[in-house]
Amino acid sequence: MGSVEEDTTTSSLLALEALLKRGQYTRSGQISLLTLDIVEKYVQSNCWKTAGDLITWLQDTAETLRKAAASETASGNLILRLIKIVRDDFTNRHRSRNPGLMSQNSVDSEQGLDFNLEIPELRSDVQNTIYELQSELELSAENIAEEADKHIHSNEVVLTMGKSKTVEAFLKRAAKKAVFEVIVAECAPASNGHELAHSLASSKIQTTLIADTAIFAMMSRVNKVIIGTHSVLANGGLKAIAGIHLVALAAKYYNVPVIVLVPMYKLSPEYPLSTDINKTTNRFVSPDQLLDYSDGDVYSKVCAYNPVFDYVPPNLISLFIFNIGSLAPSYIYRLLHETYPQIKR
Amino acid sequence: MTATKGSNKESKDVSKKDVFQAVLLADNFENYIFGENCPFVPEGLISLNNRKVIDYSLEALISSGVHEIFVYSTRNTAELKDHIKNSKWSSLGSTINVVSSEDSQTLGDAMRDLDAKALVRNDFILVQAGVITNIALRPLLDKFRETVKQDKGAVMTLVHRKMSLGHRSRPRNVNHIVTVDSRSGKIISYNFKLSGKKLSIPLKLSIPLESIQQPEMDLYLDTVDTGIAVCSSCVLPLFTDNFDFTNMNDFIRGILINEEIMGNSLYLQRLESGFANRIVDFDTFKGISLDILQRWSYPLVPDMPLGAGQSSIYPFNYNFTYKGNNVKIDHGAEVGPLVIIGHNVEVGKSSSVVNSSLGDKCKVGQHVKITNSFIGDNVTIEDDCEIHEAVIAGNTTILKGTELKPWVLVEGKTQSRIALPNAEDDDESDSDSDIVPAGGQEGSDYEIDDDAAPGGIQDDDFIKFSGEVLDSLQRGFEENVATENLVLEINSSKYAYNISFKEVTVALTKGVLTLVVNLNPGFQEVALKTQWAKQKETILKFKDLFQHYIKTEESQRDLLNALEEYANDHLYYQPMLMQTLHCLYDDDILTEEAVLEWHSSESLYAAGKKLRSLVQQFVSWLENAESEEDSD
Repeated sequence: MGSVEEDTTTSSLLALEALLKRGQYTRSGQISLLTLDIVEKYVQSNCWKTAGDLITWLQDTAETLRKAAASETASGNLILRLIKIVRDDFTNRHRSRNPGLMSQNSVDSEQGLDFNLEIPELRSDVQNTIYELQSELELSAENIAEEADKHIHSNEVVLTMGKSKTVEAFLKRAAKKAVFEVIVAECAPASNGHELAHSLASSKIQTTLIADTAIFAMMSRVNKVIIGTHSVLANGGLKAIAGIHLVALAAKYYNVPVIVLVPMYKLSPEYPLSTDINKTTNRFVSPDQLLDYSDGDVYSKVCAYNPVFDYVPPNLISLFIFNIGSLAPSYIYRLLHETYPQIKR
Repeated sequence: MTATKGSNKESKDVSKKDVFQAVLLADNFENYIFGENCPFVPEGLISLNNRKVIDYSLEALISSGVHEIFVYSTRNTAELKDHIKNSKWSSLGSTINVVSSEDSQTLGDAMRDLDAKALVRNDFILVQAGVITNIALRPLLDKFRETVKQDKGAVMTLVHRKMSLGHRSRPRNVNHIVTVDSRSGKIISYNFKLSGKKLSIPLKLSIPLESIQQPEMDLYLDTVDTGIAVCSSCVLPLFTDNFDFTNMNDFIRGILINEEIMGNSLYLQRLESGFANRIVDFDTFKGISLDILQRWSYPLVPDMPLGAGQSSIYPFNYNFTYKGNNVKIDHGAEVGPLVIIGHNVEVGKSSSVVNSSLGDKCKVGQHVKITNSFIGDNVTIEDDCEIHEAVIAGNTTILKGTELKPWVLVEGKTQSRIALPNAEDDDESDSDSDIVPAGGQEGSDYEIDDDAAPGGIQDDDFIKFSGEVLDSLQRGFEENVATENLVLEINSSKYAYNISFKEVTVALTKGVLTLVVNLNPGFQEVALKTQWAKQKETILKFKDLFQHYIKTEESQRDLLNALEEYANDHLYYQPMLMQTLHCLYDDDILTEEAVLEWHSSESLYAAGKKLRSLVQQFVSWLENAESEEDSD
């Protein structure tokens, strides 16, 4: 029985790995849900007995997925968070069984624990947290959107770039109460800003679509910049779609506040290694979008980088809105501390 | 791309009818990338940027969600099987079957073998050896199915990529010119013109009649065959039916010529974005290798894994260099741009490596210069070597101070030159250099004639065709074959070589004249009278044949020109020209007007004037007869 379940888990893990490797996904939310499904399957199976087993499996899985796509952190973040939860659940259960055995300090208490102790209740505990996480994932965009009224007021001009589901929901929610104007930068070469502009305009929000080159010129008229991001790094900087750095710099010049909308699974415990071309976290794709391959012999002399992401330093960002509340970049360290286990992978 | 998501479970659930199948050829058959002595056999196992060529193709197929892949191999199958097994491809949810047959010498043989084995059940994607692509193949198949709904006769969509002439990744000697109906993408004509680096647009572009009525046509010169084709299930049987198809060119030609008879048609899908190309020679090998390092083929790049399991990854660094684990490069060495360096490699002081790939465990000494070269695993290059545009097979040592000339393949202690692309099949390429219009014969009738000499059509096909006509005539003469059967024979040769009616007339005329010489040894020595007697015998023998082919004024003109050309080339025949004309006139093959028109026309041959004076007697007789008739 166990082996069949193990097979299905392994095969769906392989499928997710393949998906990540080949970049055949559109949103990191989708990746997170798929990851959670796999973990759920594993947790329900008989493949593990103790918290130690489970944590080892989770660590291995995180490593596998990280190798599959170094630039995609969502599933790794989620698994790390789960490890933290498993540890906490285990500690709580253990403490309630043996009251008085442990000191009161919860951080120190983990030190002496033997995770290979079998606690039958752990399975249902972890199961429940997975359900909680699932609903959190599904509702994160909505939860963030609830903050909209506090940030967008009537007659304001908001600038955004590209297309983010979270930003879309946020703006649409704000439009229920306030009348404001949105400027959308198209975000070439993907140009998915077009889709957002279309969607906003059809919800009767006054929308202007601009070329990326016009961002600086338009910035003087803008009251707020609201953007989504690919992930938030441990120092409070962003790894966001290429072009966002430009927006953030223009906003800084005009002292326009930059608000970043982030679901929790995008919070990454990684630090940027290098500011210009960080080989582990950026992704360099085919220059096909920028140049014409059929052009010919030029390419013997010319190489073109086409990075997918920009690194935006934390000093350019005013506020993060998470689904669990708002934070300034300088407080990211606290959130990391609460969310992820202390011991490095 | 939901197909990959499902893995094993889903692929088993898919109903038999919708199994997405692909055939991947591991062999390149008659095209040798590094010349005939290439040690890397089959082509699929050639190492390209430290990975096997076949892995790139398999990755492309699997990431496109192909359920079942048939890898067809003819040589070194055991090694190939091991390689596929070790790469753990099958754990990715697609079934990979290695089909092998030592007997298959050509692509045609392979197709017939696959047909006999009845493995492919429905539409499939055919991927030839050496294909590197990052395009999604599923949409191509879907589009093909749409096309089939519109045109039941669609058998294949050829996938091309837009690529300008002189592009570094374009095969130097292959310049296809494809004419397509803009609306449907149906191929109207396909020209395999093979010429040097310069391309001249042929004036002799034949375009069939019905296509002129088409509202729009596209003519593509900047197009390259990617080696990918979407095939309907009847492609394999078509290869079986036509046992003379040896390669794709034969197939394309065969389908287009017989389009009207068989009702089969070909379509073209010309990609303008995405990466799709095929390694066919050393030029394309070099070009594609650089394309991969420049990330055009993303995600098929060295820092992305191929296949499942622990495939080697070479992380991406500044200046487009990719370095494996534990690489030691001296501070004084210059590495890059566009370099891939395998695991555990050492590069010594003051050495430079540019546009090249180094396999695992290589050792490069000091003051070594390597440019545009491909070096296998475990190669030691001693100090002061210079290596340009060379290929070095694994486990080789290059001794101190060696300078390797460009286009050299080194394997162990032997060096061989990499053959210039297609240099060895020049003869073949010439026969490919004709134009294949849809619906054969009409095509040629509408050609814009750029040949000054009317009989001066001297391409290889014509020579082969003439040979066959002569054979048919000889047999016809010796065995008394009925005229109808001879017509059938000549017509079938005509279609096989895509010959126009005009050329048939020329071949027939010359054939009849040559036949006498062939049948009678020492013919030219005997008396003129005997010569003519024999000549007349053959002409009369094939009277019906002439009558069958020579019906119009145009064809009479061709006949006369052919006779004139023959007489121009063969001195012995000149005295018999007049008798021949008379004889043909008597048999109502030539009309009076045609002869007179020819006689008064400007001659294109050196002996033209002399010949006209030789037949003066007959012509004046004709003129008199005419005036007599008039006076009557």
